[in-house]
Amino acid sequence: MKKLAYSAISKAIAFMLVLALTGIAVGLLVSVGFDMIEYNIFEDELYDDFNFSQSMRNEMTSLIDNIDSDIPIREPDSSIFEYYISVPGKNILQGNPSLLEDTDFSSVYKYSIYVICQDGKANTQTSFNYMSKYYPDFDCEIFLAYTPAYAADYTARKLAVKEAFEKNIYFVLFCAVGIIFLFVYLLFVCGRDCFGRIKLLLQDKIPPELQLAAAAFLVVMGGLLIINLLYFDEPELRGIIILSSSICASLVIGIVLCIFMSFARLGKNGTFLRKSLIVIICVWGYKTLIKILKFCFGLIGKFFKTIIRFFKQLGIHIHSFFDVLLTYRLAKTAAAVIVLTGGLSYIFGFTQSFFPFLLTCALIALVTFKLLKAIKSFEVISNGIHSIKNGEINQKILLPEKDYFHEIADSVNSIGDGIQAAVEKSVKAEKLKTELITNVSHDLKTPLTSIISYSDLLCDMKLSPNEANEYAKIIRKKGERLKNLTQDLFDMSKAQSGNEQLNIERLDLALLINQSLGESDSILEKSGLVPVIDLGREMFISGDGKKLSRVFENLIVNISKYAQKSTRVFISIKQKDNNIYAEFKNTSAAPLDFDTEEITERFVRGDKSRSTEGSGLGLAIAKSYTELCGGSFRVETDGDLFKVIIAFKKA
Amino acid sequence: MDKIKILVTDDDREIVDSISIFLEADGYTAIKAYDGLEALDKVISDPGISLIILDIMMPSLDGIQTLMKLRQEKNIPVILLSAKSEDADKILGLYAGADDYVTKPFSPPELMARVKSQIRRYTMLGGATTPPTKLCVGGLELDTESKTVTVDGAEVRLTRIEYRILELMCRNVGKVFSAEEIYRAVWDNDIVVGDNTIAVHIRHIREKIEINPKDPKYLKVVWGIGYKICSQKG
Repeated sequence: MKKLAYSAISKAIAFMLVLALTGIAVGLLVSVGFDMIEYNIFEDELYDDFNFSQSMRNEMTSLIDNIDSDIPIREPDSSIFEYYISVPGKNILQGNPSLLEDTDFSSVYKYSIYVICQDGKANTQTSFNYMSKYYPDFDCEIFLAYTPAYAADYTARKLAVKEAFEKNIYFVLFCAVGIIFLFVYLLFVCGRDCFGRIKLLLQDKIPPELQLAAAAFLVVMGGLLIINLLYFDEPELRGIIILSSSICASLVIGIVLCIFMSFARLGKNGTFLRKSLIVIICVWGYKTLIKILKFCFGLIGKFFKTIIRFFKQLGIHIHSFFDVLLTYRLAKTAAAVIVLTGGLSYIFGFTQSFFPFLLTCALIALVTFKLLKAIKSFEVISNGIHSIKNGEINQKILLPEKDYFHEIADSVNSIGDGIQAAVEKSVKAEKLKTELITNVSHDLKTPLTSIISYSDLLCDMKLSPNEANEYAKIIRKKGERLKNLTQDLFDMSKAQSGNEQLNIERLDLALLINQSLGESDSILEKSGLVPVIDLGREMFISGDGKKLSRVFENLIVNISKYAQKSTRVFISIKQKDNNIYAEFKNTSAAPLDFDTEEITERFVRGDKSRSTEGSGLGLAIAKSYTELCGGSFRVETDGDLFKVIIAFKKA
Repeated sequence: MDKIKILVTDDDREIVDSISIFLEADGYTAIKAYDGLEALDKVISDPGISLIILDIMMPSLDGIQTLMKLRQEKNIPVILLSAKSEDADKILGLYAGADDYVTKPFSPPELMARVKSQIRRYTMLGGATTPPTKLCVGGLELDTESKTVTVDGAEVRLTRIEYRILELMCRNVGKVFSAEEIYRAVWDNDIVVGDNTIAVHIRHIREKIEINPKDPKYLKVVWGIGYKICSQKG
């Protein structure tokens, strides 16, 4: 049922029905409308005491008007009217005087006007008694009546029209009810399809106000057109008029319906206000106003800032002016100028002559100009030094050779060059070192392969003397260690030279540490340590899983090597704010007397004697890999407590 | 029965010699070559060669080029030897047609184990068709009826839990399983928070089915995400 109500077909049918019903109703109204206007069916009689029917009134007026003119009085249509007019003063006597002879004439001529004027006074209370004022000099007698036959016919026709109207009006009312029902139905269902989804049409992009204006315009125009058509009464055109006015009415109603449906759709979609032109204009106006205000305030602010800057600059310039004035060379110039101007003033007389005053002014202006120029060069040099301080060592200070400060600028430039050369050299050296380590570790691998292979062979043999078997084992063991060292060295140099390719993913740090522990739990077990693990769940970070697994493997190996036997080690993850912290804590077997910053450097080991196994690269690699993955790696010590804290941003 | 012939190629004579000694100790016949061209000549002239150990960095024709030329003619197993230990190098070698990849310096027993596994696959499993009850991933085979596992034809003993984990993963090759998923599927239970039980089981399985558990071929750890079974290459 709901599906049917919302289906496009039923909507279309309802729409067409509205159009059809409107057409029919308007057609009916128009078809009776002609007669209704003609017979004025809302009045009961042809006329009452003072309000005559229009045709009779017209006729009477023309009769009265003709009295004064010289043209003969036009006779009313004898099939409709009977009349008698007598104006003795003008020698007028027309119509049928015998009409009034019958004593009971008023009952025969039920619809009549009878005006008698004598001595400037009218006899009747009709609206035509004004004529006694028009023609005070004439006595007159006018009688105008519908013929009894016409009156009877007219009454009968009027009655028929009234009946037709009454019959039609019920049908029209029925149509109106139908139209209203369908209208409401359409407003209710429009804009939603049978699944309840809201759908908008192209029409809904037009602002509602424009649509409303169009609707009002169409209604007014359509109404005016139909009313005008009604008065354009030509019996042979009636059919066309009825048809065109009903089409016109249904078109108007159709468009109005469309517009209302559009409103309904916009309302259901909740975008009515947003589409509304008034709202759009208001919002736009508001925004523009804010922009203009901001712009104005900005301008005012800028103005004040400029003024303040100007005064500041002025202050600085005055300040530097005095500073520079004190410098030796410029002081000399200034002194010369002062002496010169003083001398000139003395020679020419201080107040008597205008010329020396002008000359003095010119000289002072010249000195000021020179000084300002010097200050400018000074600023250029100061900026240059500032940029070198900030690391822009390529920046050169450019001053013309004639400038006072050219030498200073040159010196600063050469300092910059020196620094740049040093930086380049150190970068190159670092690159060379990395290359060297990479090559060396590559080249180490080939002989190492032979060492391991042949020591393996030796170990499988029975050697004499007997000690030789022990020596072979030592060679094999150390070969193995050399292999691990080489690999660590290689990884380290790669990580620190920035050549490492990373595969950054979103990882669960808790799972990763669990996996690392699972991989190396035998190492912890063998060293007799008791792990206390508190990892929580789903600690997501982003990083390279392979590299991070190496970090935790190194830490676990480190713990198993350096922790006091049969103590507890604590491994935990905490989440604080937007960071995730992994902590590895253990009690150190040896006293912790190293610098916590230094321990993560390359080849630095807790035990200075380097007697234990290990490359000394474990923590350095762990730190480098952590930092490559965007984390931070920190070592803290407190008495015998050795603590590593790795922090990552939450992902 | 004739001894199986294996061609060893490396520009470093001592390495070739030592590998030959180990091979002969295990009952193979070693044929030596010292560069890529020589290796190609020997393979073509002697159709009895069943496996090639090939170094990558060699003069005249390097290992990868030799391998690509060889693959146009022959389909015998090739184990690459290299001092390059990067993942990218391994992948390049495997895509060029190698069956295995060993980085220098290698441990001789590991190399011998890899040789053995390749020979077994080449000689024994060559054309065998797999029955429907078997799950195969490269040389790893699970018989779902008898619940037995073989790697390159050699049987491996797994505990019941280990077998169930391995079967779950072999049925979904390439899929990454989180610890929870494995726990739920194998124990029919939700995971105990922050437990590394799965990680330990995985390591045990790896120690049993992999030649080098540190550099696994089948069962890989996807760090911070889970575990997966890899099909042979990549």
